[in-house]
Amino acid sequence: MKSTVSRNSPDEGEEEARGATNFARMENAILGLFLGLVGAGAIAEGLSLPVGSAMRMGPGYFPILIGGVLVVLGLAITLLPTRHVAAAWERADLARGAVDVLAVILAVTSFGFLVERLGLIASIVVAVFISTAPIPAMSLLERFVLAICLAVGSYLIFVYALGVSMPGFTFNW
Amino acid sequence: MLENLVSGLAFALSMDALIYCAIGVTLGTFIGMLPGIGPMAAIAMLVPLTYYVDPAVGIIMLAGIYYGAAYGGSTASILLNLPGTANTAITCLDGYPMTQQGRAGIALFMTTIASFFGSICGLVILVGFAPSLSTAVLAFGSPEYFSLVLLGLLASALAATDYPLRAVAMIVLGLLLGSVGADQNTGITRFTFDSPYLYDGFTLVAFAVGLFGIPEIISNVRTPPSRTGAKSIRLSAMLPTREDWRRSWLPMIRGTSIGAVLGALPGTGGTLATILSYSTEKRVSRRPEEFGYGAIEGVTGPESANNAAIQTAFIPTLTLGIPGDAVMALIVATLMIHGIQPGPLLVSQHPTVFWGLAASFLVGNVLLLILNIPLIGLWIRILSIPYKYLFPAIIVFVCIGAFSINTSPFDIYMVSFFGALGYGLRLLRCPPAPLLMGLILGPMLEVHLRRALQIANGDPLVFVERPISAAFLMVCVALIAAAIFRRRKPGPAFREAKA
Repeated sequence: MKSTVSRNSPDEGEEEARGATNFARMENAILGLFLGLVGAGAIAEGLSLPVGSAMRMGPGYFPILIGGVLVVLGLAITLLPTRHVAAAWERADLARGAVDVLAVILAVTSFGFLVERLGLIASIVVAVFISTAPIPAMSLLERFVLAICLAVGSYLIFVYALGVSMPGFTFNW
Repeated sequence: MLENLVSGLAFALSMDALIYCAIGVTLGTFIGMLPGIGPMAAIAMLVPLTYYVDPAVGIIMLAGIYYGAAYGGSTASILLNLPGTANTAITCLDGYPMTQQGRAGIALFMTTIASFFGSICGLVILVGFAPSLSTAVLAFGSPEYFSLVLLGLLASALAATDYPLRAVAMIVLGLLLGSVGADQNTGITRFTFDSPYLYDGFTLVAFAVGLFGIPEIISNVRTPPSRTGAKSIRLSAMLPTREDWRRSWLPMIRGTSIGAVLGALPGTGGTLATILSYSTEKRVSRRPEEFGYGAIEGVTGPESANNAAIQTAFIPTLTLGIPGDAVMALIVATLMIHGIQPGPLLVSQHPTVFWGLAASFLVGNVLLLILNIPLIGLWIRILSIPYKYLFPAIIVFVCIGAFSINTSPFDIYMVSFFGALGYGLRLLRCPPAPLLMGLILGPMLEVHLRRALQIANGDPLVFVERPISAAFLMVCVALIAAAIFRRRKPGPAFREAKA
């Protein structure tokens, strides 16, 4: 997502610059809201625990303190005048980025889901196929060979040589 | 002290230590060259491996990745104009023009020499100062530790960032994430949502790999194969002329001094040292107009600074237990996982760890000298492996590593979760390093806050009444003030994205 890098070139149109500042404000607002919500959640959790006093702090004291600071920082990020400019994400970039995120996150998650159900070899093959899905210039054979090499190599290194306890093949669905 | 050093050297030269040191520096060089993945992610990925070996050996390997990456990073900067790590970004300025002029071999050779020189000087300072500093630090009480942790957090977050407010917010978020799990005093669980998996807090490795590794992989999935400026380099083309030597030795000494001082201060580290060294060289040079067009001083000075800083960064990490940057934080956390508490007692209680590690730096740097001068051609060929083959392998290693910590798929899901969070935060321009620092140092900050206030009957003035603590807090205030006044200027070109 190269377009999210801030640009400062002077020859950009004025209107575009204003749009960029607005976009930067929106970024700040999203981040500020996120931090504020997390901070508020921390305060709520802290209040549900014994709080204690400054001299004898309970488990709730520190989260409330930190949550409070986080809310203040969230507000500051949202409200203070912003210094950076950000070009709005282009739709094509956004779509491509979303596919990449999904592929990588799904590959990791699928491995976690499958490793105890089907074993290491099958989980690696699935993870490789999912993670390489966004790459157009890769033939089926290429993906397959990569998957098999990684599966066999990982089995030899981690299970055989290092003794990590996980099954190569198994089936407990 | 000499006999300690000798026994350390004996340990570092033992078969196990030697093999893991070699693995560490080789992998570090490799990782450092790949623009896609930084030393942070690589170290996080390999922390699980240390469970299978002696802790001292494991730490030797992790440290090897760190300084090995500094060597590899400069190779990528010189040949590709792509900094492999943030600390070597400045090497691009004059290193790549040298490649364009057909002087890549000389740039690589002098960089390796400068790095070696900086490392060895930094190492001497580490060995000379760390034990005596440990004795001085023994007098620190909870108020001092609280203020020092606070200073370490602020300094690491505010040094060389474009977005100070976001960096501070990330520290605070990290502190909060660090408080997840059972409370240290009462055992009451916090933020666990009644899940037994979260009783000990987040699994550090899953957190670090998710935060640093996954977003880097995601943003590089479509990286096209890199093209080097030099196809192959023969050894004969690497030998510098007498003029090159003459112009390099003073910058190397100046760079080393700058790096050694900045590295030892909590939170500043290599990036700032390289920038400072580069600007110093440009200012004192009789030919400032050559800078940016292949001036060798612009390569050797910052490279010495970077490597000296990496070595001296171990001083606060090992003697105070206060890491200067995210990589050091991970090393501290790994030591603690193995039941070794970094701090003033480390040198006397775990001499093998300290002296073995120090001696391994010497061994590792000699190995790097071999890896980077005679074997450079091999690395250039490796640089051309397409990323599309590498990143599925990285994903698989990440998964296996996360799984092997507790043999639990829950940790793999945690990688996914923090990967998504990390990517989102990256889109919103939030640096990930302060988040990790906050997570690791959070429990320490809380313990010392509680203890200090308990001893002082709840009076917060205790932090300013004790002189050392007050001094640390004053530096904190100065850092914040500096960050506020710097706001007016446009952001510098150096970001910590790859940290």
